[in-house]
Amino acid sequence: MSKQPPPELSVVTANRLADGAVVFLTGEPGWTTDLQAARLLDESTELEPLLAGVRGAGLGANVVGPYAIEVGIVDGIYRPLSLRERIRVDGLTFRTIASEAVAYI
Amino acid sequence: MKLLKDGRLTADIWQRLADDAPIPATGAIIVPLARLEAEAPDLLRRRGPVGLVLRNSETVEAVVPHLHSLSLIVLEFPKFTDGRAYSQARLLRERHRYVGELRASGEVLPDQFLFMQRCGFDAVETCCVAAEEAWRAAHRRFSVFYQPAGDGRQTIAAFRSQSARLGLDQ
Amino acid sequence: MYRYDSLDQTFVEERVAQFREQVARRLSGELSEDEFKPLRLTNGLYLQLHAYMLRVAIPYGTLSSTQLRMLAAISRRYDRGYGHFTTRQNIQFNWIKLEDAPDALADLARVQMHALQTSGNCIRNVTADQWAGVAADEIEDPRIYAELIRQWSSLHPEFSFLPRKFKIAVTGSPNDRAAVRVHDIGLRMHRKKNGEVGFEVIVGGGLGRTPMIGKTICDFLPKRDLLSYLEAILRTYNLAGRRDNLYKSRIKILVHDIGAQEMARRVEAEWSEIRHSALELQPGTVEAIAAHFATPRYDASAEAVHAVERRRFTDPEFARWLTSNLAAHRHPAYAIVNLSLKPSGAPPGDASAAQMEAVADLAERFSFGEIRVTHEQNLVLPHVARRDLCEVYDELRRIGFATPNLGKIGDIIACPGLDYCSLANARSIPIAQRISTRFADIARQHEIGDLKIKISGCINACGHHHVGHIGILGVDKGGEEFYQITVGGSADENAALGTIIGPAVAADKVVETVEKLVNTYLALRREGERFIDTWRRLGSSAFKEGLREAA
Repeated sequence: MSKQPPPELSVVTANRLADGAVVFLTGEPGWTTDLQAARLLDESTELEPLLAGVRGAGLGANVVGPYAIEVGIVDGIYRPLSLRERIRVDGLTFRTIASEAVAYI
Repeated sequence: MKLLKDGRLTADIWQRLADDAPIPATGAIIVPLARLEAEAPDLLRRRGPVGLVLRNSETVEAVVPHLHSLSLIVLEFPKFTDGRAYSQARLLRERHRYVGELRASGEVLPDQFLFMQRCGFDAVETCCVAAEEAWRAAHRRFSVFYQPAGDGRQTIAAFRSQSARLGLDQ
Repeated sequence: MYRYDSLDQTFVEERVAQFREQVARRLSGELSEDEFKPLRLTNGLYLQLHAYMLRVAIPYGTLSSTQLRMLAAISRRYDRGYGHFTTRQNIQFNWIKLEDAPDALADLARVQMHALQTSGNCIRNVTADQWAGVAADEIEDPRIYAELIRQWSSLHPEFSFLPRKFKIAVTGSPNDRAAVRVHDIGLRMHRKKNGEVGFEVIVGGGLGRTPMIGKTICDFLPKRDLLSYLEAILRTYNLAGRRDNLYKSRIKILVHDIGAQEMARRVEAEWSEIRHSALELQPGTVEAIAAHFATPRYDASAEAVHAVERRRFTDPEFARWLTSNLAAHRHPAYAIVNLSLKPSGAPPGDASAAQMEAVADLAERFSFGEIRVTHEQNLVLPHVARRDLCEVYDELRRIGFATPNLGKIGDIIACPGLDYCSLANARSIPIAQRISTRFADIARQHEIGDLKIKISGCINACGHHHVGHIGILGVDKGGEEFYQITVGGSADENAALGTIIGPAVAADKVVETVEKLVNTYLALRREGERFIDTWRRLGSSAFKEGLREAA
């Protein structure tokens, strides 16, 4: 069993309304598909008011279901701590069959 | 909150009676089931229509002895996802032939108007801005239905047998 | 197979128009997500980890070549060029955009398909035996009744907001390939001595957090009473099913709490009021639907097909394919050809657009234009003349769907799991890939024999792990993927839930554990015993012993 570092850093993530794409809240504020451009929140951020502000109309209008996820910084790069969120960022952990293929490689 | 009855926004003449309030001599009042059962004679004696608000955890069977004295039954959707009142409505209309006003209250969404109409509701309490148009649209926009409900709309199966009898092709 | 008339067509087109308008109101902000979500789910559109997923209904798993071609087109036009066949005989596309969904549904409507009620707390796709209409052991084609139920349940105004989802399955054969005992309602056809055919009605089966085997509440229901009886069950459930706890809302909990006898009593009481209503099925109605499922004009003769027999001796892989992937057809000159969508190392149940189109072409040439989808994530060509088997086999090899492993250890059923699904605790597809790679050798698969491995990435059990001969359930242990192994489950007429045989194992130990179980079986089996038979004879202690031994 691996030891998780204490939750210090997080970002807010959601899915984009129109196409379902995974997006992250930026500092502007806005939404980006690039995790590295996300606004990093530390333990001093009050998450609940922030999340309330990005649900519903305004900033929440074009996304679905914002929530906070824990990230770590590895070699200067933001990486989600949980497997689930890593999959959301990186995509499937296996290669799918290509549209014209008749054999799985 | 507005009352939409038979597709028209209407003034609501009905008042929900507070639990501890005495029964007024006149006026249209709505009482819960417990009160209807306990005070039926007093309620009937007065001049003024009597309505019932039935919780969706209460049974339609309990209402049956009182149906003849009710001009309004209010059924509840505590959350729009809680669909018990659809069954209650059908039982009241189709099984027990209730002919008074059947009103939906609670979390009522315009996208549910068609289901409500088909189950026998003729009134809804709604906050929807374009409620009259939404009710009309629900009536109009669908022309074919598979299953029989108390709304009397001809089902697809009935239409098919009719066509077959008449020798018509689909 | 069923073909829409203008009424069915109008029904789907009106719903597509309604959904298009609802999507527009959502995108403009007029509808909130809370208001829109049930409307989206009613049209089969889920939000998963990466994107929206569209689950298209394939009623009782029957498809035409035209429809399969459209599914391929949808995967190309709106998705990433592949689709996934599910454990409820549906197909899923994983990368659909909400703004494209109305167009995709309009395309589907053009070929008499839809995604209605494949999600949400309503009556879902009615599933049936994938060999319906062609199985040698069938009493009557259950799809006639599945179609009647489908129509009755389509946007039913009373049952669109049930306590929870509702799944119905029908089998027309005493060999239950539809898993009727683990559905909310299972219908099993029986024939009385006097020849009358009716239904055994089974209620309250299900998998998930609290798996249960369904209870029979009616031994023999005449056909004409089918819809009224179902309506009585649904009304009883709608009014009495729990709504306070998501994990206790299925009908199986109600049946468990009040008992099967009380359930039967309540249903019969309600049913007695409506059995002679407009829901009573008229013979004409049943006949009209049955006409859609008439036997095709089989024209092959039953004499021995020499080319097939010769090749059986000269081509060992072909011989294996004949043994494992064909099923007995009621017509002696025909065969049921099962397509394995489980080549070793592949994600189970996926098909590329090119594969779907090739299967559609093959079906058109050799199967009267008809394909079936199984709840084990495979496809079927139900009407193949034996004289065409060599040609069909060669084409299936080219397509990649000829792996001779049907029902064998390589024929794994797996849910999408944490790679796709926001409900999952762990991944299932990579586990399936590892197992199927380890057991890739076909001779070994045939040596091991019939063995169904079913993998679920979470307790919702979409992979049906409870009824796998070996079941694998992904769990989250401190942020790591662990897998609980069960043995002895079965989805057929001897339905049983698997037994946990030890603590959950880490991902990198799953294959080793499966291997130990297989080796235990091989060491202890008697002549003719399948894995499940040895388990039933010896029980868990023998297999637990095998796990304790060194690999």
